[in-house]
Amino acid sequence: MVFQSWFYFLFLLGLSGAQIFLLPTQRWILLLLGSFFFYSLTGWQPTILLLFTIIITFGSALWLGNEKNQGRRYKILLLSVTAQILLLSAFKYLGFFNDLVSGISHWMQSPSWVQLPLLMLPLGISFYTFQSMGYVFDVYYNIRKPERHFGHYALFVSFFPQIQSGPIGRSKEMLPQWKSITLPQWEMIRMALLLFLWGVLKKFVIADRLGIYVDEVYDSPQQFSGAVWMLILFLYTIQLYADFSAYSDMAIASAQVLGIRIPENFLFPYKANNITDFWRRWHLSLSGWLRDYIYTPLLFAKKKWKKWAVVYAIAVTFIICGIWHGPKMTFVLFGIVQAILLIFEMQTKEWRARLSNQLPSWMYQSLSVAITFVAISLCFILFRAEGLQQVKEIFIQLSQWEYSSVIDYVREKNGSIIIGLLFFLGLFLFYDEKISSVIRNQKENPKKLGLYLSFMVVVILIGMVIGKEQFIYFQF
Amino acid sequence: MKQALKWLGWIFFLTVVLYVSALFCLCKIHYNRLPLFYLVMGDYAAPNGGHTYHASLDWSDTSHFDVVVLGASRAQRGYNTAIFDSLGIKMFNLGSPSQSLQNSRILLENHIKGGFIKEVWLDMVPALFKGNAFESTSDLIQNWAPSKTAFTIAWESKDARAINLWMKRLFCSNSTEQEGKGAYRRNGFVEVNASLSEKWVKEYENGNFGKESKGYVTFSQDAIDELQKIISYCQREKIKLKFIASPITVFSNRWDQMKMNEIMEPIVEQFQIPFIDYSNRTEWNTLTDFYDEKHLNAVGVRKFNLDLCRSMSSTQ
Repeated sequence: MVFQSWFYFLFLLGLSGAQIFLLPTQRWILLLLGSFFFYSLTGWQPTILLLFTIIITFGSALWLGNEKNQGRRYKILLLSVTAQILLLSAFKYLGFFNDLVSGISHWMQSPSWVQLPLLMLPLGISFYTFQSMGYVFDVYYNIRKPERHFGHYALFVSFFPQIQSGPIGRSKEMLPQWKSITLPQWEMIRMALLLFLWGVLKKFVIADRLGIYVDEVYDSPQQFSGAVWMLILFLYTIQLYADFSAYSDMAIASAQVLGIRIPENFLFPYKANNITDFWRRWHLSLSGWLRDYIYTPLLFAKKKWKKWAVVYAIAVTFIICGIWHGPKMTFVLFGIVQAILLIFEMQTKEWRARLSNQLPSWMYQSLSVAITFVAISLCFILFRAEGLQQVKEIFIQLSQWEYSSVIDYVREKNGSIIIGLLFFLGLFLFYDEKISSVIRNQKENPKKLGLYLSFMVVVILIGMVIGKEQFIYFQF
Repeated sequence: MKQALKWLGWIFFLTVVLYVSALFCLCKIHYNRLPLFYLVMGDYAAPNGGHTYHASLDWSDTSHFDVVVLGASRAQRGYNTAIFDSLGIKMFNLGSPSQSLQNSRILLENHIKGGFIKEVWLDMVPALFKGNAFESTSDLIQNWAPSKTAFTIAWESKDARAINLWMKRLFCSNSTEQEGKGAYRRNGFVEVNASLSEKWVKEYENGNFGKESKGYVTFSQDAIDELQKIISYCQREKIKLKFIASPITVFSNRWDQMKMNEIMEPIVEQFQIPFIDYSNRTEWNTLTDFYDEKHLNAVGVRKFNLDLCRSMSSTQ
């Protein structure tokens, strides 16, 4: 069930309406039933797998809680994490393994010795696996006590607004909320409506519209020159953010209607002035997860290595980040490139600080934001390309620079691409921050709020592009 | 509750005012001699006027015809009404580009009545079974003259873009300026008098045909249901229905064609509807009888129409 459907709207409305008839301490039951119903629409096999993950992690956390011996606790953690990684790999990485084996066999000029059957990827498996794994880590590091209420824990893993594409919830923020769910005030519902519509607008008016141009160029990479490619890379960078943040906004708004707060996932990432800053603003729930459960433990484990410990921790963390996105070499390379850029920034920190003192601050800031945006756009080639061969083709095209070709391309597109771009930039630079501040400051004048909402509805009705129902991050 | 309802009412009022004003401005402000509407809406907004508009001006609900043809562009450009007229069959061609079965059904229900029309020929191509064909919806909403039919098409498509297009009719007038492929002749027929384009000649010479290992059309149940509704309507109105698959090129996807025939077989058998299938006939030469990978040119249409008349008269 996609968020932007009438069925989902009625489902959400029905759930939030039915909550009125239950006590705050009983409302979790309704949300749990709703979440399982929601997920079961993807099929019974993925639902059983979800239940299996819930049981494994719930059980291992209880076991960890009862065990005092540190050595045994470590073994339990290892067992639980291995089980989850194996489960995730079985569904997500078998194809990658097959490709690797046939690649090696081809290189050794011998017949491929194994081909494992491919399984269908259950929706949201990467998200809920990381969420439940994070909970087990929290119990292991004594950040929280194990949850003893199976229903509350099951809801934590399966909560429907976030199961498909996050944000990846943290147990310390989410679990306490199930104990007593307070119904939202009318003001909060109004804000949720605003946020939801903002998500719909970003998805249908911005992301999908830009996607038409992006798909066309990615489908025949050799037909377009470097200048056109650069434009398309920028458009894809915007599309990806609009698409993913749209989903997150809709998830946060849906939860808000039910009286639940789920964490923010973005903080205006394209205002970042370097890659380190970018990762503090992009996919916050994943980057926070990687920081707390991979980067920091690795850093502490190798602290004797001093500066090299940071290099090591960054490299491992971002390779895992790349692999998390999918079983493709392009994603692995994406992680490696991010790690290289972050290490480069770390090494040039002092030099950049000296440079910032020599230049006017506005100039340094603008240049940093622009360079970061270009670097991120280039990195996202690895995110969007079908494979390494296509990445190579794109870089070859990027080296064949013809300024006039981009003008011809825009003219061929009847200028609508420019309108779309200006429209997006205007909306994003002004509205993304504006709406975020309006939503946080819940005392906005209702009439003014109504005007925002009406404006959004009209923009959606007039500017929507229909065709793709799926969000880009569903594939992860 | 009262406060919430009052607020929602305020939003509804504001939205309607903003929506109508925005569309008005988009239709009245021009850029490059086109209303801004086209720029903002993107590619789906078919231009005003064109062949469908011409056909709708020629059409009258109270005229008598022996045959009305429905279907997509292959129907619109594949049944020359003048040839059929010369052979004593009074025909109107209601085909339009990418016409979906839903749109064919709406045209049928709104304009074709038993007392006036004897037969309906539905030109069958696999693409008819694709669920969503917005190209045809867009074209018909903007260019089919009777506003009520246009509204029905917009409403039944359950798509906000269709409602925008219908609203646009209120603010932008149609023109009779010729647009689109080929030349409008009469009674809905559009003729393309060209030989096979260079691109396809090259493909032909390179032997790039018949190599597909799979079909490309996703056959939707909704489309099959629409076909059933067309059959039921014709039975109710006592209009004879015939399915015709016009000649195809060597580039056509044989898997899609086979799948369509599989779907058609039980329907044809159950309702005893004649299905005249030219897709397996070899007399039509891709190089000389078509102008692209799927459409007959004037030469091919003539051959096809004469053959069809002959086979009709021999079976009657």
